[in-house]
Amino acid sequence: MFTQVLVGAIAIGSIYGLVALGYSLIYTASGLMSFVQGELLMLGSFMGLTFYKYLKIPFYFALPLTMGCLFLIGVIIERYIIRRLQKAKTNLIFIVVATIALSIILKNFAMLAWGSNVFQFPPIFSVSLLKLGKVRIQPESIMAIVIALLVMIILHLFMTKTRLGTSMRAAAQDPIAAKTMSINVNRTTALTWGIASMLTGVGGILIGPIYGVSAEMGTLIGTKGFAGAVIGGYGNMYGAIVGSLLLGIIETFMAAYVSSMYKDFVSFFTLIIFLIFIPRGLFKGKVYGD
Amino acid sequence: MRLKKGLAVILCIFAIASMNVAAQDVIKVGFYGPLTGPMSLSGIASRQGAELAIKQINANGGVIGKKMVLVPYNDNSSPEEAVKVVTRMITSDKVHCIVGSLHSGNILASAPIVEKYKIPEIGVGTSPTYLQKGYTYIFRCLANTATIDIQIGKTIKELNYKKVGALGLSDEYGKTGVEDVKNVLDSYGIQLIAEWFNPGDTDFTGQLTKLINSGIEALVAYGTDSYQGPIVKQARLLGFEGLIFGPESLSVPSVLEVAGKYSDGCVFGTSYIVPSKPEEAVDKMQQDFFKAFVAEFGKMPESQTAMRCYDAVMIFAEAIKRANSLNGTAIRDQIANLHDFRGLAGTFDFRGGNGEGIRESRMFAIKDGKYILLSEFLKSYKK
Repeated sequence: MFTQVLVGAIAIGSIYGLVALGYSLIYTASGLMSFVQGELLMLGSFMGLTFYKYLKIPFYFALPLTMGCLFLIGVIIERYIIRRLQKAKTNLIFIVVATIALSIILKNFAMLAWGSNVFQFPPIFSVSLLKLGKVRIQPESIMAIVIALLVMIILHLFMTKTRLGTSMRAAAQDPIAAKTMSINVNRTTALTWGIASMLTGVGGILIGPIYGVSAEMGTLIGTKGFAGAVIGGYGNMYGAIVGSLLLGIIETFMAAYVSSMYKDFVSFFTLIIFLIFIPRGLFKGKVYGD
Repeated sequence: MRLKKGLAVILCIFAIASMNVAAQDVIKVGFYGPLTGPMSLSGIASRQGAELAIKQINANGGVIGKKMVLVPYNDNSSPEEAVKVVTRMITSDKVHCIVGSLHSGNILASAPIVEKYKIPEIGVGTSPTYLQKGYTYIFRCLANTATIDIQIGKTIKELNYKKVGALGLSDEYGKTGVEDVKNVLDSYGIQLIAEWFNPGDTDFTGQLTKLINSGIEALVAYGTDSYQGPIVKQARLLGFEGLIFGPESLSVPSVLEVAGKYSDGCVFGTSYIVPSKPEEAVDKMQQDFFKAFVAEFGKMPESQTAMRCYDAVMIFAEAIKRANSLNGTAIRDQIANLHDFRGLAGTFDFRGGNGEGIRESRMFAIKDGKYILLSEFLKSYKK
């Protein structure tokens, strides 16, 4: 039983991780908190569903197509909503509220466009279930874990070792100084939002075959992804994944061994403990001043 | 001058009198339900069922010489909204009867208003609570979950299971339901282990692994519509091969959609079921209903809630006909004594005194992706 629960925990933790990466990326590279990640995951799931199931596009095209669409959506959100608010020198907290409003709009849009049912995402692999010894796992879960780890490494390397990544971080730390270094802050910020949305969208497609697709799916996952990012150190790529995995493990083991009534309670209680005692998270995320 | 004044007064009196007459020329059937939000598919389907019934009644000449008209409102799944719209439809629109919401909580919230103004309401929500508070103007036209829970318990006992698990949604529906089932099983000496999940949760690995590992012989899935499919799928993927029991929320098409071939072995009670084609309905009355529904709306109803409201309107029509009056209390009295009226859910009998019209629910099972009667399923089922 232990292995089965662990596998399930790591799978859901990886999904939280992809969402958390989105949060941390946006924070690292634009200094902003976005609360629309959960709904972007849901949109990614629905788009993947539409391409793969209804338009019958093969999966290896449907995936990049969805990623491209989500990237565009991220860029559009940044350019027409976030940037406008920043130009008007809006208080940061209001920008956060704007992302919350956007999440409500996207959720209801999905309900209008696709309906409020739960939809089945057809399996991506020809095998629907793998049995390794006594442990049963969907191949999509394995894919989710592998992709989350890969993305974590790639993003971290990108942000620290490449010129573009470093300019993105510079732009977030101090936009004015970055501009004097001829870094195109607008472009890097747009790029950040695009990549973050794209990643979350991938999470959505991966989660579709495992849990089904519905307009409601993004909300709780988005919140837990946020918690995962905070626990791991908000703004740190490794932290996002590690924190989310930790969260996934704590809550799944809690449900399996102690009591399922308190599953969510435990997740968010862990978040509170971290906020009180280890506010910068496991990997000591940086905090940007206003 | 005096002539003019007098003429004006007489004209006014005529105007007022004719307004009353005009108002009494139609039978206003109020309706409220979740037309937006997560339950909107079922809410809209329920309104369509009511619309179809009214259309058929009017095509046959109406009731006591009058046409029926639907006065629909959206309660947006919120009790506060339900109270608002029910107050409005009674005091402003002056409806003669009300077809109540899918949400039992909303019926409960607006019940005092209905009782105060003496307007009969037939509720289509399945939680037993709103008929347990002593309201005399509220009825229900389908089996409530308590009835279904008793039948689930009986079936589990007949199959000789000793240890059963339950995964319930931690809201009023899930908690009341699981407790009901537990009480029934306790009386048979059968053990029930209950696990819970919260609204918004999509991952049940922890809870299901725990239940499966403790050796349960059957599972009771007690979530609302959108959770049942994922619960069934995850349970089967984790290796659970026993029967999965549930209330009418297990009858929704999305269970078949999401769980696919894993949905075999689901057992549930429901007053109504929507097959994939009209011809597959369990009896002729339902076949006719589905054919008419497809003719009117272009496809099968999204949810069996359409059938609930269809029956409700038909019951009102019958009651108004027998009362030969639009007076709320007169209609109410007719419904309270109705015992020989056949609807899609079966034969109604409201004489119990608490407003329940159907006391037994049909039990179904899923086999090879199709709904069959439980009695048929058990004939060929080997444990």
